[in-house]
Amino acid sequence: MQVYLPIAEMSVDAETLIGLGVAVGFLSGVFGVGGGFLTTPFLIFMGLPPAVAVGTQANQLVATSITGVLGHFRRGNVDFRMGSVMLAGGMIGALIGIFIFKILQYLGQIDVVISLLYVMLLGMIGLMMLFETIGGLIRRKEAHVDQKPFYEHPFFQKLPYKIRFTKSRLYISALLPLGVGFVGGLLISILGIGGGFLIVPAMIYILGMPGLLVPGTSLFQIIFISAFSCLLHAVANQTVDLVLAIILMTGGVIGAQAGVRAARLIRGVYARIVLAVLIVTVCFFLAADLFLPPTDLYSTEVR
Amino acid sequence: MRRTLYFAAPLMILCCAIIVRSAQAQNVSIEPSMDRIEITTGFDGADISVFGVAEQKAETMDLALVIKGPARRMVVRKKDEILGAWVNRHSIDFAAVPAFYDYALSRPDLTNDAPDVFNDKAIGLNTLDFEVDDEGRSAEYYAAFREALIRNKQGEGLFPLKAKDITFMEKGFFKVAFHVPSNVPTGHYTIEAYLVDQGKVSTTDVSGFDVVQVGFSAKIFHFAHSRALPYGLTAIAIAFLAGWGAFTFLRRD
Repeated sequence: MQVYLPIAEMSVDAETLIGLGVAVGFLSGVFGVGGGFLTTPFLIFMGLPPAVAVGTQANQLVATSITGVLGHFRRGNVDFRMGSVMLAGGMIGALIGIFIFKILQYLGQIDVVISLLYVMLLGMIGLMMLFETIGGLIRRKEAHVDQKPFYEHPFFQKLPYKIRFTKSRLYISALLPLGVGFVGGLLISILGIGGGFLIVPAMIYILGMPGLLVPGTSLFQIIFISAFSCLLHAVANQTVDLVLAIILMTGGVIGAQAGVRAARLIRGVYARIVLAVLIVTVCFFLAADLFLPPTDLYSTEVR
Repeated sequence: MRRTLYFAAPLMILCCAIIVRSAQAQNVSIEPSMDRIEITTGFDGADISVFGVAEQKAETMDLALVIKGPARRMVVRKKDEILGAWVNRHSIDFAAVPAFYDYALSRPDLTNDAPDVFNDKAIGLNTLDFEVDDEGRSAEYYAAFREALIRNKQGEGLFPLKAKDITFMEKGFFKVAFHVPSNVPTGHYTIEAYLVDQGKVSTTDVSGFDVVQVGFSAKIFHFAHSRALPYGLTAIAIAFLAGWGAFTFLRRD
């Protein structure tokens, strides 16, 4: 069945869209990732304007992160103070990100920048996950080398504007969560992804937050930054397609339901390997697109 | 019987309209099968026929029809290899590219007979100019970008691969069937008919139709463009509800 997307001004196959929503929802159910890194490239591959793919994805992200955060909230695993500081940084990041997006779009470099950032981020994270997980499988219980954690590095300790975060039991410079949030905001507005796969490690290794509080706090700030980013895309570019968003969300809810059930049957380590392989595969295809000579050197766009 | 009437009635009205109009000292007159193409949520392209009557005084008379969508400013970009990656490097702006273009000829080799006329009236793909908004480069450089633009438009189904045929019926009546794909932009489309006699255009007639979004998709489009802030807030509210709904839905098991 063909469905007409009023903002993208084209009709697409509804089954494919629902399938995409289900697949991404399934992944988020199993692995707890947003799945934006799959949706955005796939939508662009389907022929949607990148601007509409990213703008709509920001809207979609609001729904996904709310579903995620509610569970963590019930268990009291959200550090609202930390989240709010990150949020402030994220808002600034999102605002600047939208601006960068518009400039790149005008220069005709948005596709390349999106692809390049994806290849770099996905390649880095995917390979790291793969080696860490497989490495962990091979040498199960190796004695941990006593090493000073990264976040205790003197540079981080010396930064000004220190704030006490009671929930996380931290006394650190507000600039750190502000900076981490800023990067997250940039990712949301330029790439249309929550950037959880980058923010979560940053919260653990740079902020030194307790692992239990990390996912909930990350999701908490993603809700507001993605909502803010969605609003900016809607007002500045008119690129949020409600029909597209609703179809993707519907598929996502169904997929997440199945994913949560499947997660109970899969061992965590294997799930991580599958996710890592998936990330590396997406990265590989995007890289091929970027580095192999294209079939048509020319492309056209309405000004 | 009722079905036949259902189809026959508009056709008859159409023919009457054409006859009335052709009586006004014109000897070519056209009318599209509909003056509005409505884009609904399930829109999957549309077929539009152009009916007409041409008073052919001599055997040598020929006919050409052109459909043009609203003109848009387009940019064509060319990729180049930079550090191993293929990146857009060169670009040219074309000021007036019809969003949709199609044409029909009474015989395929018609454009060869009177090239000047066809260039003049922009009948046929190779006659389209697009108004290059750039200067100081070689003609070959522009030609490559122009060809790429046409190739891309053909790939999207918005430009034709070759001319359509004109079907002649009795007494100078003719019909041309065009197809409009699902990705056509909204706006006003013009149809032009040219009666060509011995390498000269003897008469012309102009008609047209509108492509508009209607119903649900139109509402969303207008909402998004006319009241962007409330639209964005609505989108966020829907996402909030969906996210909350998904959570309660998932918790049940």
